[in-house]
Amino acid sequence: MAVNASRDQPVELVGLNILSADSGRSSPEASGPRVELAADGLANAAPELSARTRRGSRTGILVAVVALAVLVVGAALQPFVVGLIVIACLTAAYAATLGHRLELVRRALNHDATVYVSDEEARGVPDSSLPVYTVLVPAYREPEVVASVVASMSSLEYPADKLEVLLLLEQDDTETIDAARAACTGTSVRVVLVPAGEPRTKPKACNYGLMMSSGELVTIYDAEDHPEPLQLRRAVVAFDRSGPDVACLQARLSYHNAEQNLITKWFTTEYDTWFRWLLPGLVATGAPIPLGGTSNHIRRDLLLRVGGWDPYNVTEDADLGVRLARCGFKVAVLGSTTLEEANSDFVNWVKQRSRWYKGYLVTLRVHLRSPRRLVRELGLHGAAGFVLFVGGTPLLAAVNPVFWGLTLLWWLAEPAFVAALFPPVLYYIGMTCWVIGGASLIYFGVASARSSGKPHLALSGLVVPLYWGMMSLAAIKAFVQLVFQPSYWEKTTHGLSGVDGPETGPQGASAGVTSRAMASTGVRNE
Amino acid sequence: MSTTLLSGAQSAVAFDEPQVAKQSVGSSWFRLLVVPMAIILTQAAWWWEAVTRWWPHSPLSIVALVPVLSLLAGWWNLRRDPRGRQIHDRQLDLILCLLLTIAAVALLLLAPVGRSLEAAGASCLTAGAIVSAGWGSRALWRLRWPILLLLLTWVEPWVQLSKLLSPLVARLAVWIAQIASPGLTPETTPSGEWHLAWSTNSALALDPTAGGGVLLMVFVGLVGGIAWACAGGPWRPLGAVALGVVVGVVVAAIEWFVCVLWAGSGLRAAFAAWASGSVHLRTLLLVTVLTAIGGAARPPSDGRRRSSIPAAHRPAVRAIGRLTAAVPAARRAGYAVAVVCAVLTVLTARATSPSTYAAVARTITEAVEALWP
Repeated sequence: MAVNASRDQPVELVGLNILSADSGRSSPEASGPRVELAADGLANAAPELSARTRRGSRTGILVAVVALAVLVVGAALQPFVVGLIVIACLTAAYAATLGHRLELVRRALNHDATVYVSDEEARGVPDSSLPVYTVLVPAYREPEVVASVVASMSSLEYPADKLEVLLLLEQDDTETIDAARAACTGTSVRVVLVPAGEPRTKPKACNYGLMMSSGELVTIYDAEDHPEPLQLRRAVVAFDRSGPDVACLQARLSYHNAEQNLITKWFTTEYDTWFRWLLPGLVATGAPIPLGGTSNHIRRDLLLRVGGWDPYNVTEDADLGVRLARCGFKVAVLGSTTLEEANSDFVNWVKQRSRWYKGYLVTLRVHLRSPRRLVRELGLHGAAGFVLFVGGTPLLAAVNPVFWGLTLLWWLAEPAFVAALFPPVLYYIGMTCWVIGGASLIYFGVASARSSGKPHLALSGLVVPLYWGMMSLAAIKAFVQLVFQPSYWEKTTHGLSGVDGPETGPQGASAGVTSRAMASTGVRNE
Repeated sequence: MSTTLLSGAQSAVAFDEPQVAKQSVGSSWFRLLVVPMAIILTQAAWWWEAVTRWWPHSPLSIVALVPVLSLLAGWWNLRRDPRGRQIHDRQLDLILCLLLTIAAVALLLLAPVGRSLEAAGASCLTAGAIVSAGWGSRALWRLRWPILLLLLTWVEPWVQLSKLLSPLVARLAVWIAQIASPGLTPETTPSGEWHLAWSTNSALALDPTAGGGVLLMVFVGLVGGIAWACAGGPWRPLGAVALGVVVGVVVAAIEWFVCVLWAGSGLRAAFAAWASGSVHLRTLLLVTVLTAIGGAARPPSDGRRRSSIPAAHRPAVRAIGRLTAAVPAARRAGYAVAVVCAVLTVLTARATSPSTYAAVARTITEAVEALWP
């Protein structure tokens, strides 16, 4: 079964085959140029598509400074008018985003765009017909989860001679390297050391690993991931079934420690809603898909043509999804689930979420550098969907406390200025968004918990407004970092769940055990 | 989107051993004391107002004791060893501090000048902002119950509740009194207040806050229960609150019994005095003293005797070590606390003592004008 993309027209954007350094794949001498390409290949070849700060380009800063100055001066001279304009803009953004979200859910429920591959179909492909598959597993300072990830990779049902697992470790991370060498002995997992150098990010390691790889299909798993054993085979069948313009299949993500505490319950429900309704809804509307950080299965040749991952973007996955769409490629959702560890700690959660929000804002900034070109490449619907989904999520999360505060203020003291800021039209639109938006989000959480086979999480959906407060904190932090540390990668600490994923350890990491574990967490792989 | 690589390992700090040794003793104690001192400073104005307005004639003066209980509960909570890895984030600390400060400032500005007890509603937010800036958001989470306890210092809801419940409680008291002592004659005034008269000599009016007084007996139990609940366990708070209610009722019963013995003048007079709400203060004082003694004498959670623990591993030292890990730059945290404290103290003073505030403001203005005419 050959999985070759046959997109005829040249990719206008990058043509970044510069990453496909076939010669000298394993020679140590090539590591210098290779790491340079991994770090700055995209930024040098297509600077307008990279989040790397561009020298000499001060337009964005100038626009921001002028806008801020106008706002401040306006607020000083005509505070009421400026306040009214700001409230009107934000209310319009709320209404548009809410309408978009409802439409996504409606589309997903009407026509599930997820690609399902049965067990029989997946196992029916002869081993000889399967393409070489590369699995990239980047890890940094995570010696405690390395053994677990090796066990997970060993549980994948894929012929060993066609499976290339690259464990990507930083050269100076001796602790993880030692743990990995001990765990990988006797397995097909290969340890790849990424030379030190800035930016020290996951996408740079992935680009480096991509250049060292040989598979026709590439996927990424995080160190704490537990993919469903048949996922690679399902992806092969799904690619074969899809058109050649489908460049990527995003498998679903869910959590194995949903029951740990209230945060993990909320997080699990949110992820289920995201991967079962919102992403398929985006596929149905033709908008670009912000990919999840792991379990995205990509055709290697197309990945090289669009320039790989952007090492300067802290959500390189979301950025890649948009770049694929801009190049005319499609992303589909695969009906197979990878279990991860839900972040169970409040501070750790805020740090992780703030990185995601900041990455979304950076992605928005990168792709809006030329709005006309974006509209030409994505279409008006696609561009609007991108802005509402990728931009609306962090913006509204950051602004929510202002509106909650104004509402509380009105209930407490009914100050006149609040009434003045909400003339009837704005008031009724805002009230509609508040009531319908709040109620629908709570409803979606409860319904998603039930429909994904986890009714025990439904109760936590009723108190989800507390989770929105956490989101707001993360969004505010993201905006602060966007100004002061746009490329800073907030480290997420793993291994807080106290359990080693759905399996009991390397010995229990058989397909049967994993499947049973997934069944016990309510995950169904259709 | 989860496994990460970064160039700043300082963002994830795991606390295992006390790190206080690295810090000077002065810095450590400064770190530990600056936050409660700042909280006391911001609460002082309304607290004094509460004491002078309600003490000693009204049971509502109990609100002045809440910060004391809150401080004790906070200390018990802080010295316990935490579970799991301790991950810190100063950006989050300061964002939380900013949001809480904004909310507190809004509430203090909204509170009408001179109505300090309404302004006390901001005490919870004020304390939260200071803890977040000085000790970090993880300490804020650990101290959430003691800080939320400060919400009880907001007198206005208690006044309303007392008004609402007083007639009902008075009616209940009269009903019970009639069953216990048929000679007792309830009377009502045209304004709807109750009087209890007994045949021999006199009658006693039921204090309008008597309902609140009985309510506050339950409240005393609640406070004690919540304070005790802060010692941990996922379901312990709920159980402790339930226990607290029982304790409150028992305390009320004991008070009644003590009152009978104390007065020595018979059941009726004692009952009437109790129902009028005039003796609750003794109980409140008793509860406070017992709580303070209990808190000080409480053994460490692992059951060891205090004297058997080496000095470097005592709860206080470990607590300071945790704060050091959470907030490495104590001096900068001190500045943040000072700014928040100054803003909120001025605004609380504006709400509580408008005349003093105006005098101070006038003095400053005159001084500035003298310097820069």
